[in-house]
Amino acid sequence: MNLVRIIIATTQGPVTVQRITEEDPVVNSVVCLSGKAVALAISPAYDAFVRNPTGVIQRHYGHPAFRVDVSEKIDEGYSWQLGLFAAHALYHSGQLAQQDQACARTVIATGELDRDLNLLAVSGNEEKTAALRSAIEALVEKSVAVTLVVPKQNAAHWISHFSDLTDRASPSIEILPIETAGQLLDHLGLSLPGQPQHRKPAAPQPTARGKSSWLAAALVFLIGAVAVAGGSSYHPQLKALSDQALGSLQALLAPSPSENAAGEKPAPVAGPTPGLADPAEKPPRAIPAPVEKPAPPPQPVTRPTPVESGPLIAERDVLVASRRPATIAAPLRIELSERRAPLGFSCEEAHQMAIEAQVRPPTMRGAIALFGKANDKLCTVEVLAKAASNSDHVFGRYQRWTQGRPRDTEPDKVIDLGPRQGPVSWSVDIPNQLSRPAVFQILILSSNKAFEVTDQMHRRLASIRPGSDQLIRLQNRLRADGIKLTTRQFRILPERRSRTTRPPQADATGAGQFQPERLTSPPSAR
Amino acid sequence: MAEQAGTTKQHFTQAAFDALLTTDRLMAGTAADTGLVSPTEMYAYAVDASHQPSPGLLDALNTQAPVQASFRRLLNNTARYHLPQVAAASSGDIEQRESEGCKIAFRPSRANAAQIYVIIECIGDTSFNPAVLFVCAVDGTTNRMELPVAQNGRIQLLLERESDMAKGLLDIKTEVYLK
Repeated sequence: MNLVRIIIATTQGPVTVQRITEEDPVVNSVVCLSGKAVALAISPAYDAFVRNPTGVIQRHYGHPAFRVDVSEKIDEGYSWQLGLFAAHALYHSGQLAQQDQACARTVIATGELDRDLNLLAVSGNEEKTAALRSAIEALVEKSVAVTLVVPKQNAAHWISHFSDLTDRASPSIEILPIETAGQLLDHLGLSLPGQPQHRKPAAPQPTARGKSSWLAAALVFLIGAVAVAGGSSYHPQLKALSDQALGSLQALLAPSPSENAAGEKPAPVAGPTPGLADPAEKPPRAIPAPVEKPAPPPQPVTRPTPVESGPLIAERDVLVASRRPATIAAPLRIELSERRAPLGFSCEEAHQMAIEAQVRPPTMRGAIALFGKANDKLCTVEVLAKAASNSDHVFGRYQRWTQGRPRDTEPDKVIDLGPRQGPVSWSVDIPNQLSRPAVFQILILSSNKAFEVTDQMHRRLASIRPGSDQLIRLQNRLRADGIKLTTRQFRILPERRSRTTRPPQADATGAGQFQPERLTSPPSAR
Repeated sequence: MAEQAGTTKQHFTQAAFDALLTTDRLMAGTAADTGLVSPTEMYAYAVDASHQPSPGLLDALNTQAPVQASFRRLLNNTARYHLPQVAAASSGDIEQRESEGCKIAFRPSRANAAQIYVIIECIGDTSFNPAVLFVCAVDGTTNRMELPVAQNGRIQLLLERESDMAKGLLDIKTEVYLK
């Protein structure tokens, strides 16, 4: 296997990507210095670059948490993004030269990426090129093939700065101005999981085959549109129809060798680098399925016979995969429990004196959970939402209203957790004196595939109020994407109110302090 | 209400230490001569993440039991969260420490087994961002660490497992304070 080393061009000099490791999904991604327990200042930005919903690495390569070890410090900026993106792509395909692994080629990259993997111009080019020169000369000396990958907007500076090296007719150094990360992947002979459209399509040729391809593409688009518009939920029949139609189109869609190379490939300034894959000679491999591919639907689906790999066939695979919902996750468990100060202590005293609180589940009386009396002893209510499988992805929102009615006011506290694999939990502080009933709502999204909570989804969640009609619509909408929405609400009444509303059959000690628990998920979604 | 009471107590504590500051000034030079610890500096060390302690204070906190006891009381009164000793059911590594509204989780690094991630989440009060962490051992000694800025409500540290701080956090007999 041809290994490739990635070097990030910084104003302080070259920074080698030494190693990438998949970390426990619950930790934030970090960039560390040479294997030491030193998280660099860019780590929060790197975590945002990796993790959904802001990041691109999890979106394409599945895992949400990585540790990257680099040879030197990177203190600020975002021009490391292209280099680390390429490193992840190589790591995913097993081609990243890690640690001291020998390799015959090196990619030196600089550039900031947007979420669509477009490359943005960078600053500090003077410093970067000056700081790189000796390193590049040393690599060339060792006959290592070097590719300098830079944003197209910055290319002029890089070309002029290194013209003496490229003019030596040395075949081992080239400058590659690009506009998208996909162009770099093309150059490395890699493909992009989950998003095959990273190549800029070439202008269609007025050939019969070209027209057929456009017709076929239009038909594929129509089928996709019907699939989306045809209902908010997933229809296996529709998918089967799509599969058949797509299967019958394979002959039209199968790319010819010339079409395989149709993606715009930036021309390197110098000659082709020995050893680097050239997509014109070697078509991109079939785009592999995303790492966290959802489980297949329950009923068997007739799939067209696989044909030779090519970008459009791979696109179809991804199209189908994206239409296929995750299997609805197993029932979600939401546990409520109370923490109460021991006899003779207030919550604050128990906290300050480190006295262990008493933890117990609520006493259920029908659909009402009853807690013992007196607000000053009810310190917190613990909420734990746990999927049946630790591999399920869970997002949770806790919101509370203590100042007004939920229908009239915004919540005065909102805490989002996740999405993450594993449980989410909140410790709900209970104010000592309540002047009015406090309303609490827990919203849990769960799925057995990774998902992101988009801005739109945030807005929709924010619009849900306890008892509102929008809940069912959103549940249906999310279920079509394989995401289950479960909500739970409870109220805590002021002590004087709780005395007056205490159920006659309440236990001898208790005013009904705590009135949960309306499970608003429809039974089918549980 | 609990928060109000806490704020009042903090104001009272601060006022008390302001008075002590006056005493410090009146007795300027005495502390250095006698080896006594300035209460003002002790207070600053407890509440100000950026405070650089004098060698004298650190020495006293490591060796003088009365100073250690005073400092522990100070932490009890000023720290926002206190995570007590862990009641462990087994002798293995603990996975988390928890208190009302605050949790510290430990995850081994897959990249390097000699390193460990420490994840601090204070969900009881999202407006509070811990700036400094203290680990108090049963022998009275205290380890202090300035914390990085929280990221999405959580603070993550990466520590060498054999460092004093990691060993202290993983020791079920220590107590942890967050300020």
